[in-house]
Amino acid sequence: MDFFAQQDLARRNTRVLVILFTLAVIGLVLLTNVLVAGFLFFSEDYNVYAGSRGGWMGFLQQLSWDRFGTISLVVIGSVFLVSLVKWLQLAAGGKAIAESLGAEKVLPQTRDADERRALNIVQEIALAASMPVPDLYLLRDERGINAFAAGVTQADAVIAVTTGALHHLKRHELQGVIGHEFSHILNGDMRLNVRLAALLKGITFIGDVGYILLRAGTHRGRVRTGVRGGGNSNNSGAALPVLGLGLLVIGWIGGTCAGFIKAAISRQKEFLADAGAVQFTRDPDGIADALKVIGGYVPGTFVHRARAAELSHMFFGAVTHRLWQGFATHPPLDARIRRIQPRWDGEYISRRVRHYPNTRIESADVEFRPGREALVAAVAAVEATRGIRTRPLAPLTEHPPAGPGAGPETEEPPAPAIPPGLLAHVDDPLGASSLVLGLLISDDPAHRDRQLALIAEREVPGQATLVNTVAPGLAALPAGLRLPLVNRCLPALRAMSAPQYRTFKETLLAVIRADQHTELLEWCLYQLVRHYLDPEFVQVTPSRPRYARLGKVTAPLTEVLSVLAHEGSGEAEAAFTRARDELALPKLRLRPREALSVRAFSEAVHTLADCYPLLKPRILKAMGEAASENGEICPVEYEILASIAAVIDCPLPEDLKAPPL
Amino acid sequence: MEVTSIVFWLVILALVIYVIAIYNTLVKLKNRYQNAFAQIEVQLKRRYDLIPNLVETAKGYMAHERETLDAVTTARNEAAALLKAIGEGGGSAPALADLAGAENALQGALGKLNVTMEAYPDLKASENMQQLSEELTSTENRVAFARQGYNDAVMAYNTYRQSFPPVVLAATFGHPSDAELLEFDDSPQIQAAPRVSF
Repeated sequence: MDFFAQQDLARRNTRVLVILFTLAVIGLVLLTNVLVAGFLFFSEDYNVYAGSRGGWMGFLQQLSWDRFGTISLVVIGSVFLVSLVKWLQLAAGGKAIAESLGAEKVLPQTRDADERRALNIVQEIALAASMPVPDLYLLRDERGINAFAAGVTQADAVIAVTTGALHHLKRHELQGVIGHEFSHILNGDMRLNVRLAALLKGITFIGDVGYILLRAGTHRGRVRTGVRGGGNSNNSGAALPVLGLGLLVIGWIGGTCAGFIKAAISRQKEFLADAGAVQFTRDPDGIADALKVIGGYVPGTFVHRARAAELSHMFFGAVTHRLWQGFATHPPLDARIRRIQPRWDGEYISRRVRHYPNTRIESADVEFRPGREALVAAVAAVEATRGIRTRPLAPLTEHPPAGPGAGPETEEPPAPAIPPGLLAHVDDPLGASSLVLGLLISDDPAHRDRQLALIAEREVPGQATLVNTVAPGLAALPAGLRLPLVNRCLPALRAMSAPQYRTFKETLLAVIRADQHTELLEWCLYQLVRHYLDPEFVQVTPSRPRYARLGKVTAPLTEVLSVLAHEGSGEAEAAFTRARDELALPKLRLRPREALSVRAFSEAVHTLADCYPLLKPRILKAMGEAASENGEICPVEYEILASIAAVIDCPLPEDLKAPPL
Repeated sequence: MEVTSIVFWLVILALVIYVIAIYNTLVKLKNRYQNAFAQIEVQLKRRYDLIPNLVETAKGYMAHERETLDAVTTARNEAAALLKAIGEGGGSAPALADLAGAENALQGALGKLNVTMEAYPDLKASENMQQLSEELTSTENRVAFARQGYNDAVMAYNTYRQSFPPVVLAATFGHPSDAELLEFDDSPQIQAAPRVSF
């Protein structure tokens, strides 16, 4: 099969269809105009003197440019409005769409062999397609063999597969399926689809208007005639439903035609994506065999999620049955196979269907799901031992043989002293979030109970138990290891879904506030987590540079430097002087310890975040000076520095970087 | 202003925009294929990093097959060193040919190791080995796909450069010649994937 030729063919067909579609829309606008003109023409009063309505010329008179413009504007405006709404729905990005379908993200550190394989395949195809690697999602408990790609741009695209596809397809077949989805992303099919859907909505909108007019017209016609005399109102009262009916018919015909063309475009896009899959894998058998397996597989490609039908055009195979091929979003299987393998003998491949028990106990998917409390707790216990045993395998993903204990993701030097019992939890979202919460648990028993109660209140299954389990270990953790531990937790925390992250952040805040006052270290931890995770989940507005000179921010500088000087291990006055000299601001005066509060400190740091970017390294350098007054930066100082750097959004200078252990 | 002159300026403006678009597309395509080339290096490195793991795992099961294992290690080290040299000194043609040779030797050694492993069912069945096997398959694919991605990117660049309006301007814009497709002297051997069956 010459896949380049196939792609050209599919692209050409798509272009023709898109032109046809546009023509249909234009034709529709024209037809609407003619209808309205005709309506006005016939509803005009009969001219007694002229004896006629002016004939053909009279009709054309109604078709003025002004009116034409107005009507076209209304139609186009409605299309634009509808497309805007559609855009907003999809602009949330592939991640949001996948999650709305109930798909779960496959974590990069998964230990499940099938998931590993799928992740590897995604990375391979990304290379072949010269594209950034999209996230992989899994539609659990779907037996049908299917997959979809979502996302309007390459950067926010995600790929999802069903468990059926994961378990029933061989490696090269799954490669074909995933290659097909990549091709969809690469060709911008999602965008085209949104545009077409929006246009289609606009067309059916004309029909909707017609329907409303029809209803309103007949209604008013019945009530008004007789109440008000006069030919004019009588006449239009009868004509309005006619106009409505006309619009309804136009909308219906237009909608059908456009829907027909849209489905045809969608089918061409499927052919194109199949050819794209062959281009990426250079292996026609992969995608062809996958299609054959689907043909011989009883559950087929059907997906039972609630929103699946609405998004059917995104999937690899048809999601539901279509009675009539004309509106099908996907070409029939045999047609697709024959495009790839013209000499196919018509035999499908039948594979033994794997049955899924309802309760699957797997360590890799510990998730925040209701009703699994006991399970999660049990898994967490098992995990503690499992994690240690399998750990030496992890490095082989990226690193040369490192010693046991080196995680696959961390660039930081391995933290040898973090107890393995804690490390066992850093790789799954529940464990990681529990560790972060556990760091905040107070030593004071009264506060401790309150905090634990707060965590339990959020009803995240297993979390309260887990926090309780890890808290003693965390309390015993040396201060220098807190930050490395948080860093190790971040990849897993990133894998949370948006609602999970919201809950986590709320819990975090609640736990911090539980003892009525915020400690400096609590503030640091919260800021770090917020800084690294917020961009994953919420729109972050960058700070606006406002202060061009250090002289304008002396008050916040005094506050922050005073806190650092007092909290640090060295002598406060000397530390403060060093920082002052570094900044060349002789007017700064150290504030006494009693005058400082975390709240004021937080506000001061946030003010500093609005400095011009080039000032920030200088500020950090001065803080480093203050912190290293006694020759070294102690862990607590380093923690404060790191969180300040996070808040003001400026990396720590090189010489401050190495975390002291 | 008269209508004709407005139209004239509009046409000029459109032409300018078109020329800018050609320039930008050329730059984009060139960067894309250069990036694709860098990817090959990354993936080769990944494979070299993986092999010590493989050897390490195999060692535990086949201690008296030292020779085979050592051959793999030696070939791997040689290829890795060459890749490093290329990374530092830029890719000259003879250096690339050397690397291709070293790659070949490595694949031969790997193939031999695979044959030897057939005799050790315990090794084949071990969880470690199965994971490694998946990783190795994936890496072989990545190397192949990276090469192919490079060739695809080169093809896109060349096609655009040679097609009509751009061909007139390409040389002026600093794109005087076609990019080279990736071919090794011993293409057939390289393109044959090593037998990876544990």
